[in-house]
Amino acid sequence: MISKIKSLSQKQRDLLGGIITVIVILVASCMATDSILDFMSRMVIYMLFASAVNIILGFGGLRPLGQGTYFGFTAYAYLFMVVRMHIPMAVAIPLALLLNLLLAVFIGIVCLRANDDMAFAFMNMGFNTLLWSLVQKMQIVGSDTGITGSVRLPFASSTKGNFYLCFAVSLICIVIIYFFLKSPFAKMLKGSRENIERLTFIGANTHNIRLTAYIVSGFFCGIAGLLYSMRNMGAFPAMISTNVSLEGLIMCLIGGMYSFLGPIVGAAIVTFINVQLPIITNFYQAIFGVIIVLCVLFLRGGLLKDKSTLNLDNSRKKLFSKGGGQK
Amino acid sequence: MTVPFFFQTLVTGLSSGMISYMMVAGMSLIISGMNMVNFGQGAFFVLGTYLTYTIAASIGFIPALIIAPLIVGGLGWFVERAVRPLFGKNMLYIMLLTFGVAYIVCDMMVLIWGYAIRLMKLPKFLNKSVAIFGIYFPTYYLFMIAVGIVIAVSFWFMMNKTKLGMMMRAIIKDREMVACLGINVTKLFSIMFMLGTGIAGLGGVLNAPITGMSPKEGLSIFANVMPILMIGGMRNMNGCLPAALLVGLVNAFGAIYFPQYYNVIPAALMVICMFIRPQGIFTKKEAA
Amino acid sequence: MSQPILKVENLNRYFGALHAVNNVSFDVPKGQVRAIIGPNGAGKSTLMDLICNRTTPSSGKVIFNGEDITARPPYEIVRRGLCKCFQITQIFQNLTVYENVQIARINKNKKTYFFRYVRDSYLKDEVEHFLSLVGIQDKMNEIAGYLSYGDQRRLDIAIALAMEPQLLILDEPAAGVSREEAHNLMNLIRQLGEKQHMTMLFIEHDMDIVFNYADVISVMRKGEMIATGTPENIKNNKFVQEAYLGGGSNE
Repeated sequence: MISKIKSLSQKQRDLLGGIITVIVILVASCMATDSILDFMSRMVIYMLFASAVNIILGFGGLRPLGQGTYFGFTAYAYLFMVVRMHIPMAVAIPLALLLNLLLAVFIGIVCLRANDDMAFAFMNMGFNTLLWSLVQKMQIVGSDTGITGSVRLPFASSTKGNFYLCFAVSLICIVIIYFFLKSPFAKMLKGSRENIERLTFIGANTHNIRLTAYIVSGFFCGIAGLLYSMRNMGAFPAMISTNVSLEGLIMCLIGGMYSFLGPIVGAAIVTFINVQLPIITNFYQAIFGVIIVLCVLFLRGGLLKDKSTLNLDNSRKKLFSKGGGQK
Repeated sequence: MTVPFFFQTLVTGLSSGMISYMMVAGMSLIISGMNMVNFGQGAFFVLGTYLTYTIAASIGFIPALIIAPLIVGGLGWFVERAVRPLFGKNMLYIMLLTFGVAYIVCDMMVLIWGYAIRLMKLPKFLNKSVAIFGIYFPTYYLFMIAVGIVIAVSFWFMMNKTKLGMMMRAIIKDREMVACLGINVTKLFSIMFMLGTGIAGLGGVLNAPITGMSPKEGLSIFANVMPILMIGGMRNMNGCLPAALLVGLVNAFGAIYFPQYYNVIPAALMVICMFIRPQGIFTKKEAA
Repeated sequence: MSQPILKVENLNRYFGALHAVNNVSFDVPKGQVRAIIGPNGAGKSTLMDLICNRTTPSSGKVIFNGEDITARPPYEIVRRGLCKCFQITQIFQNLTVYENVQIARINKNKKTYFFRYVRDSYLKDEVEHFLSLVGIQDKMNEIAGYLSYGDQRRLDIAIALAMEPQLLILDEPAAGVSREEAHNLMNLIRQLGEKQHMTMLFIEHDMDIVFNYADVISVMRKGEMIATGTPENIKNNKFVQEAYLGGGSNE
């Protein structure tokens, strides 16, 4: 049985893992109470968010410290349009997503100008912080309290209904991301992660490749944010804070940056910890910190690994056992 | 705006800039030398503040100026040891690890000192005003600027005139070469990290009497200081001081004209500067 | 036909006070195999970098196929048919050998659609063709980073060839591999060059390789190009002998 699983190709493993996850979630949702359904919608939304972050993190090789910007921005845009400007939901949704896309283009261009990896990370975070502090001060978006309103879609207004909506949308988006990561473009993206200079000398415009990946990532993060605002029936400063961005990164880190299902698993774990930990102790931040530290020190690359990464590790072990190789 | 008020605001800006400078100088040293970002810098800063509250209450403020940075630096040594196995691997791991450390340190502070925002009274001998050219300035602000200048000068002196500084500059330029020369790179890294965090701790000490701080602010402080790094140029240690002073001044004057959007100013400034000159305003252009 | 494929005019490059490339001009006719030799520090690598704009020239022009490509973004230059292989082998370390060449072919085909799902074996025929040209097709599914150095070099060349360049620039192709391997590589490249009418420009220190495979040799010294000619001419050239003063790498 084990050997049969091992012989599956990466594609088959992804498919198998995906199907199992979907079935488990669906089954659980049938038997779940409202509060558990709430938790599950949060988990499913974060699965989408983490997968979107991993587009540029694991596959693009950049360090996006500010994807929470798009998460929160779309939420705020949607809420603002529906509650304050009284735009009908059917119009507000695509409009919010469009604005989010434009924001991603703008921030992407500015952040990638310096051609420096660390500058990119910091600029990203800088924008995130900027928007976060702005949102906390501006009256029209409700400063500290945010905007609340009944913004769930009419056919998905109950907890159960909303969960199924979140689940369906997340599933579709994650599948789209999967196909995106299998496209020729994604191969070039992986190349840019490995050796960006070589990619330039193959004739690829590396700046555009990174920018495109960034925009796509921001777009899907925005969708996750939109779903979240529907779940919470409101947009709050916490949604656009750097904590969200950080959680996204940690989900990818714990679950596995180099595999497709990794962020999804990581999202499940982290959401679970985030919900359970505050119940157990007041010092959940410290414990979370300890978990991060331990994961980074011992779980390099995350729990789930791509088949090619596993091959890499096996080759490395072979090299060591033969008495050769360094590091 | 009257002339006296202008100068007073100037001094306010310069002194707050000095405090930021200390936090940023440490970060810049760690980034340039060890090529890693210490996200926990804000937490160390706040730790310095809290240590000062305690030490000043029992022993006095001036001793706190020396003791607190040492303790913070000591903690930095531990953190550096934890980071060591990650050298050379993806920088993200180090970033996240230091973030985790920041979380832990913040909660440790809550454990020891509680959630409440603490305040401290200025030490008596500094709680005065001094008249310069007929304008009254709070002595403490001048004291902060003085300490800042002393630190900046000592730092410059150490980096450029001492053997230790020479080794540090060498590491910044070319890490592998330094290792080949037989210099103990590990020990040097430890020292750099301790220095970096210690300076942040000192900044926290100076910050204690004038701002009330809650332990949870460890992370948000870092975000406020990051624009200075970007403006000064991340790997450019000489750019820290002008950038920090600039941001301090803009903050001080901005607080008067836009009191509501006060904490948006650093980030907005960063965005503007990035537009104009992505490498940082105070970096030298690469020899073309 | 008479137009040289590469024409360099008065190329200069300063690094502060150092005049690394000093007013260099030369032509390379189509189909030629040209070697650039010279003592260390002569500016050979810098010259190559200037041609493909890895470093921007301080002044001068680079004309490729009649088109001015001076200081154009490197990726545009590569797209026009000028490929460079580096002294240090540059490959995609953590990807498989197959994927390495696949990326090059994807870019060549310019079919980088986003949502088009492709099997992992996309462009299989093309990739296998280029891998077999350099002889590493049996290592197709191995991780590139764990190949032997000689195989990594072959992969590097396969990637460059996959771009189907008109002009291939090689920076010290013989460095770091055994004498036999170097000869194999050069033979291979030369044959491919003849088959595909590819022009080749290479920097080399190993005189054996240079004299065996180059049609024309150019000699650089202290940033200037001091001589150009057939291997016979160069051997007997006084300036060249002076420049090397008792021989370069191997006599």
